[in-house]
This record gives sequence, structure tokens and C-alpha cells, in this order.
Amino acid sequence: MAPRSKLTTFLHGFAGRIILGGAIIHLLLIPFLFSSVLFIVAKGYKEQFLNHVRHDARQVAERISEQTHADQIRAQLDDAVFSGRLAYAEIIFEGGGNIAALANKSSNETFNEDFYFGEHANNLYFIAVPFHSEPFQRAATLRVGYDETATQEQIYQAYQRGVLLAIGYVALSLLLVVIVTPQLTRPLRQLRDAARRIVDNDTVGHLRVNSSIHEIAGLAEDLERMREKLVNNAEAVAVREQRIRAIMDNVVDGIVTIDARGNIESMNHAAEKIFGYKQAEIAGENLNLLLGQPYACRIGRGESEPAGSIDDISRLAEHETVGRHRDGHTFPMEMAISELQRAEGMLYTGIMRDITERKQAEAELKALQEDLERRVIKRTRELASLNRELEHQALHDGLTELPNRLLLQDRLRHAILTAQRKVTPLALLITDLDRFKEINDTLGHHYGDLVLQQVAQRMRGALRESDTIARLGGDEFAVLLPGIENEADAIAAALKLISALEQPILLEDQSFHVGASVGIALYPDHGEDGATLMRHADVAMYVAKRANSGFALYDSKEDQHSVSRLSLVGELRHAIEYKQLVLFYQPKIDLKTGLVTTVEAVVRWDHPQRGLLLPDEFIPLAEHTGLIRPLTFFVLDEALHQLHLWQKAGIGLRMAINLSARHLQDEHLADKIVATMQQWGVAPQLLEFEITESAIMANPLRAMDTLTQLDVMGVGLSIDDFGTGYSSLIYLKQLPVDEIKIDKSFVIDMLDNNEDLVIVRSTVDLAHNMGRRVVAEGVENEAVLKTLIEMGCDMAQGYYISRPLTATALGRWLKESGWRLSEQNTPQV
Amino acid sequence: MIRKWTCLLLSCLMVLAQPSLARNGHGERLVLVTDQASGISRLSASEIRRLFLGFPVNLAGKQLTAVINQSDTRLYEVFLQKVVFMSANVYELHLLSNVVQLGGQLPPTFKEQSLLADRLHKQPGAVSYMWQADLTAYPHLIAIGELWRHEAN
Repeated sequence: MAPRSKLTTFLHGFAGRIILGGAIIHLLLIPFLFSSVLFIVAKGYKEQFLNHVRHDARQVAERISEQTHADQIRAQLDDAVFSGRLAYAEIIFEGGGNIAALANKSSNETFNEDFYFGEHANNLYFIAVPFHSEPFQRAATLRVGYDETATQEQIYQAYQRGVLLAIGYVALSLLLVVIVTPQLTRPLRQLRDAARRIVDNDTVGHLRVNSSIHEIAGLAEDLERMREKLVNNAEAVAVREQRIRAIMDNVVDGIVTIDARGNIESMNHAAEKIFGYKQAEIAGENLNLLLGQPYACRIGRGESEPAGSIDDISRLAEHETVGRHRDGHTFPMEMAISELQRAEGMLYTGIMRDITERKQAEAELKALQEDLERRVIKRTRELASLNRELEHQALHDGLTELPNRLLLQDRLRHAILTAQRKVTPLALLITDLDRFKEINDTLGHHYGDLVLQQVAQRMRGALRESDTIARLGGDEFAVLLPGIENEADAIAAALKLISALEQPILLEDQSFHVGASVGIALYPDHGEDGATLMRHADVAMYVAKRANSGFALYDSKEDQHSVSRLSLVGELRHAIEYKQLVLFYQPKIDLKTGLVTTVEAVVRWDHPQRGLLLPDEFIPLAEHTGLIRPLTFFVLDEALHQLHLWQKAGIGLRMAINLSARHLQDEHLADKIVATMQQWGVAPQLLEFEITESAIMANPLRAMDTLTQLDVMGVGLSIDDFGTGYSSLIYLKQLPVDEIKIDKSFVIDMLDNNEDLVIVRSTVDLAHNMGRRVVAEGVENEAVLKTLIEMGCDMAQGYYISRPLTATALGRWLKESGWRLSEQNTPQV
Repeated sequence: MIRKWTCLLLSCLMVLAQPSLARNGHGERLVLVTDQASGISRLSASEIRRLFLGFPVNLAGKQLTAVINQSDTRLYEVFLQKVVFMSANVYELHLLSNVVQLGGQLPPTFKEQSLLADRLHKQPGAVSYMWQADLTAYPHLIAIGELWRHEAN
């Protein structure tokens, strides 16, 4: 910037501006003002002149018109001219001729009437006034001329004085401005000096400016307040800086401030610790001193410097890089750079953190993560395998490896959809093994499982690969036959199954005949969905089993039985609860004495709709549904109650009660029996329990425990239906039983069937040899009775002796039949 | 550029000076005018001066009214010098003084000559003055006297 001249500096100052402004205002206004005044003055002079000459010319004309002689007229004209009143005077007559003043000053001037001051520029104002002899008959014209010079001089003098006055006014004004302005600007200069002192941080002294100008005084007060505020702010800033410094020094991260050229301005204690430098020795050094060589940044370097691996600092924002310690070792470092725009240039703030430990931890974590991933992959594979296995287990029977009910239902659903699409029938077969229960109960589950495995194998061998054979549970199987052409195909498949299962099954050198009953349901004739087909095939299977026909095709007429069977369960539960069951008693006689010693309690169901139902019609149902336990306890309670009544009546009979195989598994059976006996005051010697052979052999060890408990109680024990199961003589020998009841199937026809006769005889001998009493069931005629007596059988029971009777009927029978109680048992009257 | 502006300025001045030059020419006449229907045929120089000085003037029982024509500066100056023999300021002061002393109203003044002609037409007894040359534009007006005529020396 070029140095200013003194004049320029002055004109840029407050005083210069005031003076310059005043001069400009005067230069503009004074000419206008004075020219306006002078114009008005001049106009006034002219107006005055015009009014004078017009008025005077008329007066002159009037006076002349009073004269009648030419000499007098001329004399007046001369008088007016000589006196200076007029400069020119002349009368022009209309008829010709004139009278002019002798002393006309402007005789050379041509009369040219004026109507404005100064018109025609001849310093004369000519005016003509007509004389009239009569109205509108002009006789002559007075022509007079007035000197304009005097008025022009007056105007000129007014101009001169005006100009002088204006110049004097301007000069005086400027003089006053020059004198007054410094006095005005002095306090301003003082304020300026004070402001400069504040700028130079000289804020100690108070600002005092004395001025009568209230704006300047106010400005001085404001400036003083500003100074005080600056002082206060400076103190606050100093305190804040100290606090920030204290905070920075206590921050865990290193903080380094860098100027626009990349030079370090400051660093906190943490940074000193990270890099090993003191702030005093690192201040002014380039940031790259703290960075590993490959990671140096470009900040503050010249443009000509090759970039190489050097990065621009702006790229270092939130960056992992390598730091360099004073001792030369490098370390991983996290650095974040932020920018701050200051008046003196950019300020970069770097926040740095030694992440050596974190990196080590990350490496360890990564190794752990990889190990975990490997384990997860391995575990995932294992789980996938397990899932497949579980899926297989979920859909297959574990024993036979056949599809289970779930998979069957799925395949059945698909088969039905296919059959719908192709409009072809399909068949569903339900198969139930006929004698599996006996095998399982007698030989145990192990043998039962082996039988099921062989059955499954044979069924697979008998059917097509496309057929689905499923185990539904227990000894129940289902066969899905898709793609058959007609009912005959289903029957042929059923016959194949039956044929395959009729062959004896060999288990550990023993052969077993199981046999099977097959129920057949066809799609779409017997049902259009899987559930219906299953239910109908089941119904058909029960029909086949009941009829012992091998197989049966579903018949809706038979379905009623299935429904009634299901409803019977609910009714049986109701019957037990509301005591709709009735006990009948069938006597057993001692063949040696012919006396009635014992009665067997046999339960009947007095069904409100179906009439009196025999045990075969509801006991299996009770055993399958778990109702056998309450049913047996009902019988026990009723029987002992009756025994109690007979005891009171003096009838000395023993009571035999049947126990199911399930009771042998009941740990609380003995407790219940004892409690009931105590309730009715019955001695254990009067009570006898009959257990079927198959029930005992289902779990001989458990049966042994239960029977031992009962034996200890003193009650009698009998093996029922002996000969129908697979008794082990070893067990039989060890069982604490008192009596063996030969199954009626051997006794009924023994006189016609020698094999049965041999069995009965052998059984009697065997029992006697084992010290057991023998009871023959099914005695229906006298010949059989006699034969049994001959064989040495101990007791007999059957229709020949008596059918099961109610308690009342039994009393009549005892009185009316030939059979009698022993004397000691005879009722005391 | 300066020459161009000078020529333009001179041309304008010549155009503006044209009417004035024409009236300064021979035959320029200032006449006293009234409406044809006013019935006024002639006024003496004394009656004219009295009328325009604001004094009442009756003619055949009819009150005459002065109407001042200021449509032309020169016309007005000629009127002042030839009729009332006063300067403009003094004439106006005189009229004002007359109104204050005698009552009545100031004579109506028109700067637009067509409006003045309308006023003369609508107000019988109203008398004014105008250039003889301008009279042809107003057929309903008639000149009832000559106030001034430009004469050759």
C-alpha cells in the first residue's frame, strides 16, 4: 500500500471530513442561496422600474394633454428631459408632424416600445401613451424613454455585494470549522489511544475522557465497560486454559497440537509418556518425528516433495498407524486428527493412543475366534448328523427300523394326493399279531422285541418295495399299498402277510406261532382322508381278530362296534364310580368231601342299555385303559363286604378274587388289601387271589415279590388258567402259591380228547408232587367230575356244579342244591 | 458532440420564439373581447381601465366583469402597460387592496385561453382581452375595442 500524503491523511480523518463536508455544502448551497436572493432583488428592482415608468408615462401624458400650445408642450417635454426624469420625449400626431424635446439624450435611438426591463439592449425603456380626441379616436401618441442604467447599476451593485457577502460567509464558516473541529476530535483521539492500549493488552488503567459531547462521553463509558469486560474475560480465559491444561494432562490419550506447517505446538503428559519426549524439546519439531517412517504425513511440506508413501494429514483422521518412540522403537498407534480453523491458520489436534496391548489382545481374540469357528463347524456337522439321526428316529421305529405312525401319516397323505390325481385306489392295512401278548407276557420283552423284529422282516419280504410298512406301536403294524388296481390286490397283499406270519418264529431254538389279523380300508371307498382310512382299517382289523378270520375288509356296519367300544370306556368309568357293577359268586367244591369251601367272585356289568355284560366284554377294555385297578378294588371291597355279611350270617366260605397282571406291578396292592380286610374284619385265611399264569410269567421276579407279600399276609394264592401260557417250572416251583387251576379248555373236552386228558392228569400229578392243590375249571357234566375225582383232583368248578350266582341266589343254591357247606361252615341259626 | 447539442438547443429556441416573433411583427393587435350575446358594443378607455382596476362599471344597467388573461406573458405585459399602467406586482396588490376596501371578488384569472373563452361565453357581461389573431379560434367572441397595435417606426 502506497504511503498517504499528509493532505490525504488529513482528509481521511474526522476533522478533515468535517472541513471537507462543510466546504462541499457551502460550495453547493451558497451559490444557489445567493443567486436566488440576487434574482429576487433584481426582479424587485425591475418591477419597481417598470411600475415607475408606466405610471410616470401616463402622468406625463395627462399633464401634456392639458396643454394646448405646441410651445408649452415642448417646454414640458424639455423640462422633463432636462430634469433627468426622462431620457427621451416626443409626441407623434396622427395627422403627421411631431414635437420632440430638445434635450433628448437618445435622439439616435429608434423608438421601439419595450414591455420588459432591458428589452432591446439599448439601456432605454421606450413606452408609448396614446392621446384620444374622442373615445377610440387616437389623435397623437406620446413616446417617452426612461434611462435603465441607474436600475442596472443598482442590480449590479447588489450582485457585487452578494458575492462578497457569500465569500465572507464561506471564509468565516471554514475558519470556525478549523477552530472547532480539533476540539471535537480531541476526545476521539483520546478514545482511539485508549483502544490501542487495550489492543496492546494494557488494560490496567481506567479510561477517563472528559467531553461535554454526550455521544463521545457515552462512547467513552462504553469503551471503559468493554475494557473491564475484556479484563474479566481474559481472567476467565486464563482460568479455563489452566483447567483445560489440567484436563489434557490427566487424559489417558496423548494429545498433540500441530500448526498448519505440521510443526508440533504442544503435547500433554500422556503424549510425553507415549513418545518419550518432553514438550519443551519437541515443540516446533515436525509431527513426522513421532510417526514410523512409512506412515509419515505430508503436512507442512513443500509441494515439490515427492509423495511416496507419505500421506496427507487429512487422511489420518481416525487412523491406525505406527508411532515412533524417542528411543527409536515403533509401536502400533491409533490416531485421530481433527481440524480447527484459527485466525492465524489451521490448527490440527491429534489424539493418539498406544494400542500395543489391544493389538495383542485382538490377536489372541482372533486366534480364539478361529478356534471357536473350527469348533462351531465341527459341532454344526455333528448336530447336522444328529439331526438326521433324530429325524430318522422321529420318523422310524427304533426296534424294527420301520416307519412310525408319523411317517406313515405323511406318506399316506402324499399317496392320497397321488391317488386323487391319478384317480386310482390305494389300500391301508392294519395288522395286529394274535398271540404276541402271550409271548411278551410270558417270555418277557426281550423275546417280544425279537419277535417284532422278525415280524417286520417277514412283512418286508412279503410286500413290494413301494409299499410302506409302519409299526404303529406294540404289536400293531400298518401297510400302505399305493397304486393297486382293485380290492383283490389289497386282499392278496393281506393274505401274503398272513401267510408270512403264520410260519413259526424261531427264537433260541424255540418256535412260536404268532399269527396276525389284518384289517383293510380302501381309498376312496372307505375314506378320503388318512385319519378316516386309519380308523376304518383299525375297525376292520378288530373285526378280523374277533372273527378269527385272518383278514377283514372294512364294513361300515361293523364300525358301530368300534364306536360302541370307545363309548364303553367312558361308561365303564361311570359304572365303577356309581357301582353299576355286580358281583356273582361261583362255588368251588372239595372233591374229597363234596362240600362247598370257596366261591370265586366274578364281576358282571349291569349296563342300563346293553343289559348284563360278561367279563370278557369289558375286562380286556379295562386292562387296556387302566380301569382294571379301580375295578379290582371295587370287586375287592364288594367281595369282602359280602364275606363280612356271610360271616355275620354264620356262613363260613372263603372268597377267591381274580387279580390282573397289572396288579402284580402295583407296589401298593398289599397295603390296599390289608386296609380293606381291616375295614370289613375279614381274616386273611378266608381270602384267596387268583392270578393267571401269563400274568405271572410276564414279569416273574416282580410277581414273585408281590405274591410273597400276599403270602406273608396269610391269604391264599392260586394260578389261574394254568396250561395256556409258557410257565417255567423253575418259577412255578418257587412261587408261593397254594393252588393251581387247570384251564377249562383242557377240562371241558378231556373225555373226548386224550391229549387234554393227559395234560389234566399230568398237571394234577405235577401239582401234587410240588405240594400244590389242584382245581379243575370247566366241569360241565358228571362224567368229567368223576374222572377228576378218580385222578385225585382236589377241587372242581363249573356249570355242572353251579353257574356264577348273586349272593342271594347263592344262599338259595346252598339250601336247595345237593352241595353243602362243611359243618363248621354251616350258618348258625 | 458539443456542436450537435448546440444545434439542437438553437433549433428549440427558434421554435419557441416563433409565436413571439410573429406577434412582434407588423399588425399585432391586442383587442378587448366579450361574448356576442353580451350585448356590449363599445367601452371607453376610462371604462376599460376602471373595469380592470376592479372598480364597478355598469353598461345599460348591466354590471360588467373583468376577466384577466395570463395565457401569454407578453400579452399580459402589454395589457399591464397599455391598460392599467402598472407593473404586475403592483397591479395584483392594487386589486387585492380594492377587494379589501370595496368588497367584491378578485377578477378571475385564466392561464388557459380556451377556458377563458368558455367563461366569457357562460357569463354575459364578462370582458377580457386577447390577441386579435387568436380571436378567430373563438367564433362566439367579438372584439369590442383595440387596446394596442404594434406600429412601425
